[in-house]
Amino acid sequence: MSIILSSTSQGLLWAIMAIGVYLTFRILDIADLTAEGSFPLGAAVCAQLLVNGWSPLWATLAAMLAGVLAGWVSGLLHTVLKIPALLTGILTMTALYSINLRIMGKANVNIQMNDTLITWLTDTGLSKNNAVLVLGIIAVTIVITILYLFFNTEFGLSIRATGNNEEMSRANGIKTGVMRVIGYMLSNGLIALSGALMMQNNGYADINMGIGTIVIGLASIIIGEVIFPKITLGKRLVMIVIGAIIYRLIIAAVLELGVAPTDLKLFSAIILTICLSAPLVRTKLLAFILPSKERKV
Amino acid sequence: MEKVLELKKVHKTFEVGTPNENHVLKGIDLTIHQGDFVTIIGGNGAGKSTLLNIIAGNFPVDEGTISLKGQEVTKKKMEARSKEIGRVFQDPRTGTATGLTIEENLALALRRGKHKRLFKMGIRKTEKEFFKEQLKRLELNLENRLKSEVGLLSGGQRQALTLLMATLVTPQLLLLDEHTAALDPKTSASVLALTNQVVAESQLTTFMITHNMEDALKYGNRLIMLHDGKIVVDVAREEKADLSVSDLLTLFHKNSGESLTDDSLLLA
Ligand SMILES: Nc1ncnc2c1ncn2[C@@H]1O[C@H](COP(=O)(O)OP(=O)(O)OP(=O)(O)O)[C@@H](O)[C@H]1O
Ligand SMILES: [Mg+2]
Repeated sequence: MSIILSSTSQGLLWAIMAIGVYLTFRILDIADLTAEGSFPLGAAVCAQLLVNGWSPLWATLAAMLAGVLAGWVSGLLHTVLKIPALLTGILTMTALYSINLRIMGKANVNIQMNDTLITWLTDTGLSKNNAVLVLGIIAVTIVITILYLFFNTEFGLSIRATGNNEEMSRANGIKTGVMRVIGYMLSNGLIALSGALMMQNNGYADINMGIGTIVIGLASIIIGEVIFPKITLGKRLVMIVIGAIIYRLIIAAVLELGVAPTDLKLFSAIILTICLSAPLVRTKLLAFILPSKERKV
Repeated sequence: MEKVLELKKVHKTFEVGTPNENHVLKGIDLTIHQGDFVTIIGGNGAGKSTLLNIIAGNFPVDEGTISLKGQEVTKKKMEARSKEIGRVFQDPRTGTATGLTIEENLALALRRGKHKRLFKMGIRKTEKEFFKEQLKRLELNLENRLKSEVGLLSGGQRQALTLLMATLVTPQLLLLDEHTAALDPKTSASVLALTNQVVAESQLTTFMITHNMEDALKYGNRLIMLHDGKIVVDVAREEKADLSVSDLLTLFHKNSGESLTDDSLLLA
């Protein structure tokens, strides 16, 4: 029971990062690795500000803004300097490693003595686990609501069109370069926000906490897509959250089975590989089960 | 009559400075007036699509100027020119955002060339009725499928939808690049008929590339033949109306000094 509860609350915090990854990876059709740097960036900024006495709310928002800036840099590298997306992400993520170290001043910043969004909630009498759960639900609800509304505005529609068909978008007067940069900024803002929340959950920021971020994000997205391949944007965002929770549950199960925590990254990669191959496996299975005439896929 | 489009001495060379250097447009002078329906033919690689692309702003010209409605746009990007220009492409996948729904595509088309605002709903309720009415004109039953993803439509349906999108906001200039070439003969004929109808209804100034000489003669009031980066035939009005395929071949021979008999592609 407690494993389910903690997986759910952790999943909610990770889900915000996964939604960020979704914005670039699926909506803009860009493979952006900036996440590996912007996630710990959010944690670093938030931790350092908390240590310096900032209010948890402002520290968290500032962390998000730092992510937006990181996304802006990646966006410009990609759209103005025309550097391929994959390389852009690698460049920013590498640069961010140094920047994060500078922000933190050392490899690890402890905030256990400081007020956080979570201690605000535990102060009202909630247990730590429940506090994280409540925080996760509030944060995820706000993020999904805002994104849902945003992507149904003229502006949001233009961003979706840009990722879907650049030529058509330009022929309809959409400034696709600007749309991409804004997508990068939104995406990394969310990823940094997730980093800041996760850091408050962990009680410390660590320079290496970004490693594997992209794998977790993709796994959450793809688990959701395997369950429901074709759904509208609003439902998709909810499915990513469910995907992120399922992913945490799988990880918890793997740990229960006695896998060493140091082997977790290996298992993350294996889980993602399985998810990625699922559509193919499904097609093959259907082909095998159904006679060729009834086949739909 | 008002000039809609004016090209002066336009040159375009691809891959400058490489062994593949390719001088595609060699000094094009062309003026199109309000209400003209120009068909354009020419062999493969003659530069027809390139001509359309430089008008739309896909890439810059090397020399010469382009004016739309008396305004020079030579240096303007495609996004900036889109306000004036409606387009249907050869590939049915190019003209629509296939991952978006029919109504979302139409909503984007309705805002062609306009500033996209953050606090305005992408699709307003009142617009849906308008979209339905417009879709009815296509007679493809799409008016009941506003929420269908465009990726689910057939090639012909998509081209008809793209044509509707290109003309939803009346364009100063409609550019059609072999927009029925990827369709089967029957669908192709019906999309062409629809095109002709839409163009006639709104008196659209139109520039249509085709590979089919019969179509080039049948539609429009002016015919241009492009050969080796130059305009070699340009006939309009009565002169065009009286033209037959064999007249056209003779004219081509006279003006270009080359024979067309072996250029089977042009006749296809
Ligand atoms: N973006 C580009 N980059 C490099 N070369 C190009 C580009 N676009 C066209 N070309 C070249 O320019 C020449 C003319 O091409 P274009 O597409 O204009 O011909 P076309 O008359 O439309 O032919 P078709 O009837 O086959 O469509 C071709 O040799 C083509 O390879
Ligand atoms: Mg062409």
